[in-house]
Amino acid sequence: METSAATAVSSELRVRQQEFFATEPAWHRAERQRSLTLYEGMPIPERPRTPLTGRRLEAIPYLERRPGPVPAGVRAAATVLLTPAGTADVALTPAQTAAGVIVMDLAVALTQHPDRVRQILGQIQNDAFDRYTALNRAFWHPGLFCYIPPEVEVVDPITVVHWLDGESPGYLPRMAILADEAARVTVVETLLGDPADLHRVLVSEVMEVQAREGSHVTVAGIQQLPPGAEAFLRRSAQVGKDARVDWHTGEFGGALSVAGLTTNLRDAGASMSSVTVFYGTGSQHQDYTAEVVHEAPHTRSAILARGVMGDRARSVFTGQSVIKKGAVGSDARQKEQTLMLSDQARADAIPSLQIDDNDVFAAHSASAGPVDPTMLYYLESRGLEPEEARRVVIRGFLEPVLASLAPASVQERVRELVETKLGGES
Amino acid sequence: MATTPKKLELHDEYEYGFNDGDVGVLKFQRGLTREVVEEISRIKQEPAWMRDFRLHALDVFLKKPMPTWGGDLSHLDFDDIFYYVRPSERQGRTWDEVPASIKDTFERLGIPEAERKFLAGVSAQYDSEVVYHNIHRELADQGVLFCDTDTALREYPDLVREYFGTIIPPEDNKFAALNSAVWSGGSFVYIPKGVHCRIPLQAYFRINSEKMGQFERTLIIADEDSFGHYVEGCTAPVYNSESLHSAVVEILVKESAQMRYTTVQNWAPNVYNLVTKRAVAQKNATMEWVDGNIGSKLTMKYPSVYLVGEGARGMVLSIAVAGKDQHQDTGSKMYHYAPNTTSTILSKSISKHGGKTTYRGLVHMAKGVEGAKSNVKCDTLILDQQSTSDTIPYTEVLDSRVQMEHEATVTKVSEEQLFYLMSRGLSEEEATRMVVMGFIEPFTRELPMEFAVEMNRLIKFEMEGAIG
Repeated sequence: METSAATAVSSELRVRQQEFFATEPAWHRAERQRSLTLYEGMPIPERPRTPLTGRRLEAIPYLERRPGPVPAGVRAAATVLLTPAGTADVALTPAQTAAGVIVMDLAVALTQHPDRVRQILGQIQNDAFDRYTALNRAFWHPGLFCYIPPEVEVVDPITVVHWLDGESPGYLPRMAILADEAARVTVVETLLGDPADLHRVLVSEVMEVQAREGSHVTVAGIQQLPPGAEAFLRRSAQVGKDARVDWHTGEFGGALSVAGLTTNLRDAGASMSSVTVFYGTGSQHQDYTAEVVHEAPHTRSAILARGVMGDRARSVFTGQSVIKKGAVGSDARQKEQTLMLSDQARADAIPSLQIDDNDVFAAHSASAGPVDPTMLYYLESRGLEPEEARRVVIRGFLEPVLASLAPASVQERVRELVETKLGGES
Repeated sequence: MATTPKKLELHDEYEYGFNDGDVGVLKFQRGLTREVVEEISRIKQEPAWMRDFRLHALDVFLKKPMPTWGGDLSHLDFDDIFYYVRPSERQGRTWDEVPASIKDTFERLGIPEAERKFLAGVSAQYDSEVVYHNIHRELADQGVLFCDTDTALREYPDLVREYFGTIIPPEDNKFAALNSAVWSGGSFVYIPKGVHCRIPLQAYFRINSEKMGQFERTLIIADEDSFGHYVEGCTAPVYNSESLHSAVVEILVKESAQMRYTTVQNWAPNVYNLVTKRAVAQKNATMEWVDGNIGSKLTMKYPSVYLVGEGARGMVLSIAVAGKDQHQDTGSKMYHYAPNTTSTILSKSISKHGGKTTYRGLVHMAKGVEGAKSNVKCDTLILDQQSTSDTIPYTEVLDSRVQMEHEATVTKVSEEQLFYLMSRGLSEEEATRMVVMGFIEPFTRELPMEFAVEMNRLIKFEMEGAIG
């Protein structure tokens, strides 16, 4: 009985899926169908430090769209705006267009640039990674495709704003960024919503980045989702010969955030860096994984994270640096530091190294501690109020990481968010 | 310097790989059943509570799944192991009474010599029963109890019953449950209030029979304000079939007491070494584990300290050396449950000839442990391209008024250091050995003299043919 009910739900979902994406080319609809089967057969991922059991994804009407207004300022600031309703017009500069840069709705690119899209979509991030990635592949919407032609340098960052408008219960965006040989580009992605919006929303984003030989891709992601959001963010990159990918991440919003970053250094001379600033307050739960796989000789990676945990917030930071056999001369570093503001907060760190070659260097360090009372004493002895002294110490703790955030607009935005959080600290 | 590096297979390197033929007088059938457990208890004439404890542990063992993490346990066959072997009918009282073949083994291991050097007591476990035991008069006069755990169960039943299985219950993990069901031998130490043992208490373990498990059970109680140092060394001869060593070591360090437990382990390359070691440190107490893991096929061992009293201190100093076909999955765990507790972990790993080392550790800071501090440092040297290393530290911080620091590095032997040493006329092999010795020096300098000498010799041995 139960089985037949489930089958009915499943077949209804299939019909709706095919209706919803009816205009897409057949090959991609087949991919969506395949992923739906995958999704239905998978359990909720088991994360010992972020218990997700009991979540019933099938109960979330993620295909429903309940659009609302987008504030004018949000639209104006972005190269492109993505909302649960879809991908709005792209405002590229004339120079960018002239150089052959493509930034377009991924659903349109499926038809207009099928060859390029097929080189990246689902190629960097395995759809079967977990239930959330399978869900995203089955139902992603909206999507964005960025292509930078060989040797083209995009000077101004491409800014992508996701605005969680209205009351939509699900948001499943998909990003595909393809930097051709020796191209240079910066993509700034901001996940935004009305901070006063308390409705529950499931966010499952997948971003795939391919950096071909000699290219340099910088991806900045600022997560300031509204307080009712549960976000599952998967960002994956494949880095070619002598290419480089830099991640800059700021994690501030949402009720729950499970953010995973995977970088494959596939060819010789590839490198990556990841800088993360996180700040948890209230009862936020933030779970980050930064993984790098050195598959080729002379590859380099640096993972750096600094976070502040206040109130009853909880963070889990997992770093994983893998050096495969034959990746000689590689260098992998991790550093993670947490400042603990409250006795109710909790910070777990698992900075692991997996080394299969000897001609390498690998190191990691992690630390956690309180605001240093001698620093407070010093500042207060100079006339600062205790609260102000505390803020100065927190700012000072984050400063080295904030200063390394790029581009400048992201650094500025993250600083503002830190100040907002500091203002709310008691 | 035309020294040709000697290419040695690992089995050739194992100096202690001699065996005395099958000397066991009483040897059970292979495999583990309720009858085997009852029979062990019956032969030992144990009280009913211990028999029930064993049977309960057997149930727990059978119910618990095999761990899916750590090393490869797929070749471990619990039905192909002897769970109890007793080499001679009774315990020797003096050295002269110990059977000649066994004595010969010990002599080759240097035990009598060590005794002449005023070691506090020699309690050497040869297979499952302690065959030779002598405790120094000075310690006996101070009221220190040092004997094998079977004897302790007969002579100090109340003391054993009070503490046995309280620090590591059978439910803790599958191998602790196995040990609880079939344990035999091990050491029992009780150091009374205020007593300082100036000389180390020493036991030497050795697996002799082929395909036999060794399940010693050690219980150490350091009463208030006392001080003690227990030293354990292990060797086993080489057999082709696999042996299992699964010990449980429970230590209670009471208020203001200080205890150090030193292990130098050199199991043969066919031994599964799956050991649970845990200490509880009360107020202002200090517990130190000094843990050397060389040899074995797979070691899974994570000495831990529960810091339950204010101001308690825990320290782990460990080295792991993994050679051909070996996996050392080791590390340590520190649980901070009281304010102003401190812990230090220093781990040094070396992998070579295709060996694998894994550091797997945990630092847990519970709520309300103001002023707690922890510092963890793991360094790994990988000597060749066939060898690998993983570092998996877990840290859990639930309080803001604590300090937790962790750092780790994985490198090869520095070419600059080699170049410098070779420019002074050392061969590459000598230079490498010197760098490795320097790398583990923080460990060896903490060992008692005889062990430091043995350790250096073992490392030198292990290093033979490490170049090229």
